[in-house]
Amino acid sequence: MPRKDGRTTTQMRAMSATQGALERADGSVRFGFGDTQTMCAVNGPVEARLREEQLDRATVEAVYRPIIGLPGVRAKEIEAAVQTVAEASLLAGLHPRTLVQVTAQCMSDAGSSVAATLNATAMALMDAGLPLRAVPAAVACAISPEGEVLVDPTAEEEQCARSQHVFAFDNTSQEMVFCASTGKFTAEELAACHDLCRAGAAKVHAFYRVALERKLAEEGIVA
Amino acid sequence: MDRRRVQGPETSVVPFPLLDDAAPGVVAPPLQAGKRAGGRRPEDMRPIFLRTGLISQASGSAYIEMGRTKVACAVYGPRQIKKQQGFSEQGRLYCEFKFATFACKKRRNHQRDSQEKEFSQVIVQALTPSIRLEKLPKSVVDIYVTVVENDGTASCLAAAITAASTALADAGVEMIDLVAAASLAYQQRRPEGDAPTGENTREAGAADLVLAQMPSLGDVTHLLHRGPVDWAQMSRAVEQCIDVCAKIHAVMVHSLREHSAAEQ
Amino acid sequence: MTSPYAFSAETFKRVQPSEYYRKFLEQDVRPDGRAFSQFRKTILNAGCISTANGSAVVRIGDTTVVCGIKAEVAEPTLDQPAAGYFVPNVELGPLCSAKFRPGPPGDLAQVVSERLRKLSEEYIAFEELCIEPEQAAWVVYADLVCLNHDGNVLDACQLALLAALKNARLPEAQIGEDGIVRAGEAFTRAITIKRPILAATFGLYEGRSLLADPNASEEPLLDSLVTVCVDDAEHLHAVWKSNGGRCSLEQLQRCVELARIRFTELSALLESSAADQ
Repeated sequence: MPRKDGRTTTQMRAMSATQGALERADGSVRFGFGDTQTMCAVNGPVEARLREEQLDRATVEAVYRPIIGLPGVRAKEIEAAVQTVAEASLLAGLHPRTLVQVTAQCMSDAGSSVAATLNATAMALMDAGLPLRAVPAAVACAISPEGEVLVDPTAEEEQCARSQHVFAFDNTSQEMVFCASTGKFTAEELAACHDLCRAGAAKVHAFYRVALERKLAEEGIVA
Repeated sequence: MDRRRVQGPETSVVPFPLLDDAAPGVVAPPLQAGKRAGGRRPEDMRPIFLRTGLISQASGSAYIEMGRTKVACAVYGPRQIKKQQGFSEQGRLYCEFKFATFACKKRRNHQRDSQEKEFSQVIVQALTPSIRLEKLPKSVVDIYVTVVENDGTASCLAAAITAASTALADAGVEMIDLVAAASLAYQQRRPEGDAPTGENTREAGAADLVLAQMPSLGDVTHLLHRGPVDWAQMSRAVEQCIDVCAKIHAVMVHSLREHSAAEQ
Repeated sequence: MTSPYAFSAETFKRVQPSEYYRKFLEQDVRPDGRAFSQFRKTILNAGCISTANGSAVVRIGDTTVVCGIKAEVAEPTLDQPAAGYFVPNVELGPLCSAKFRPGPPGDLAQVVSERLRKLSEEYIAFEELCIEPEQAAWVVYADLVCLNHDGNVLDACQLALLAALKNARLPEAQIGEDGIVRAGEAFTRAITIKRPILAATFGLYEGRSLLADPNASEEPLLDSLVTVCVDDAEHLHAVWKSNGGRCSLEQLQRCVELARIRFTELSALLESSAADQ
């Protein structure tokens, strides 16, 4: 059954990425799934305060600002998600006693904003030129009341959904790096979402490659 | 608007007529055949349950139950003082006293209010004379007290002081003596030891007394009295409290001995 | 003569915590003697605080959490005029561990509170908390205080919350002509719980070993933490995976199996404590 915007259940919206938009940040990317846009900026490695520095690795500090209002408890949970993704990709052992600041701001929310935020984080880390172990890609999906799994849901689909899922996979081993599923679902549905999101993540990884190649071509580094 | 907590509505109220217990003019029931509402004599205290070492993460801890009043206390330290506070030859005691939001009849705020800050000060003042602070330069000993259930504010404070002193002993902080605390309320010109909430009264002539003492040395470290009273009655009340403190001291020593025997 | 590089076990644990832990896991056991999929001993005691509408104390190993429910009345929101409020908050204060500083809730407390709130949307009947649409509704404040933090606070909090809600009793309330809500003397009304949902947390060590119910000394050494929330009809209500390690679908499914077993244990505990009252 086609969805409201005409996509099939496994089709994702067109992705967009603007890299290096912020001059003052070491790395910045504005990533979007269709109309959902998130800006993420990475600064680091910088000097860490005494009480947060770790002797053998870099400390990752994540900050998330929602579209409207002051960040509350919900934003804290998204910060924990951003931190998970940053720790999964960063080679923290290369920068002991330093701090890597990741700041994410949601610019517009038309569904799948957490997935867009995580992708923006991954791309911003690449844009900052930090050595990375892997580059995670996040995809969201929602299960409608009829039991259909809709990949990359819009805000309306998320509202009516029986359950919402966000999975992030890394590009080297295709293994799951982050997962947040809430609602009411069965173990089989979880496995189905996992597989569909993994297929979606492969498309996101392909998009990263294209975006990065385009940027390097513009800078004249790659022919 | 506390951003760091899950938010409810801006204001909420308790439905009538549930707040009447705290309204002024509640008179305590008269003595019947010489006994109070709970079957106790005027000078009796409620049975005490005191256990140390329940909080494994802390250097020392104590949990006390006096009737329905339940207080948990944890001691961390001695630990290094912050650089901004400068050098001090003597150690410092820092206490944070907090009622849990569900501990009293009327729901309390998450932030500490002035009563809780006052009680924190009282606990520090009551315990400081007993600790050998000159042996802990550049150090601070942190005491955290949480009241899980409040059945009588004065007896809560007394329980907190007792628990804090026991926790300090459990933490191995060097001290001259344990500090035991007892509370007493006056009703209709007769003293009643260890009053729970139902017996509290706001009528004219009501007063309460919290006394903290080092029983072995016989030194009173802190005395907190509220309300009008004459000297003769007050000195009788103080003596009564001192007697009770001796009994509480025995309970503290017993629980500390039990805990150290269990550890070996 | 002992080698100058030989340490006592305590020193080794302090200096090289990861190595110390690995040596135990190689022998298929954990430092506290548990098997990999074994949860710590859980004790539940409901209805212990008389000043609260409902209460429960949970001990999972050494982790101790007290939950107190207080109910007050407020006007419902404009977008949900026939629904009440449910406000869970977890306090991880300096009392429970040296890791926490005095002051407003830190990161862990906020994340746990948010997760409890998200989960509560699945089992709290908000419409039944309404007294009069658009005028008055119950606000159920659920405050959880951690008295001792030895790892796995989320499981303990969810269990304490559910037990306290089952134990909670509200008075019958009506709104009068003057707009003032009055309540009866007796506390007879229970809070409807659509289905019991309980959490089980697991840790992954070096991507290979799955460990149930990590304690405070194990948590910093694990590269992933997975929490699974199940209900009595074998449905899942939440799966959260945090910390940057990798996790396969098979490991996730194993967590779900173990969570179901844990649910049966815990619901037996809930039933027996409810029967005791």
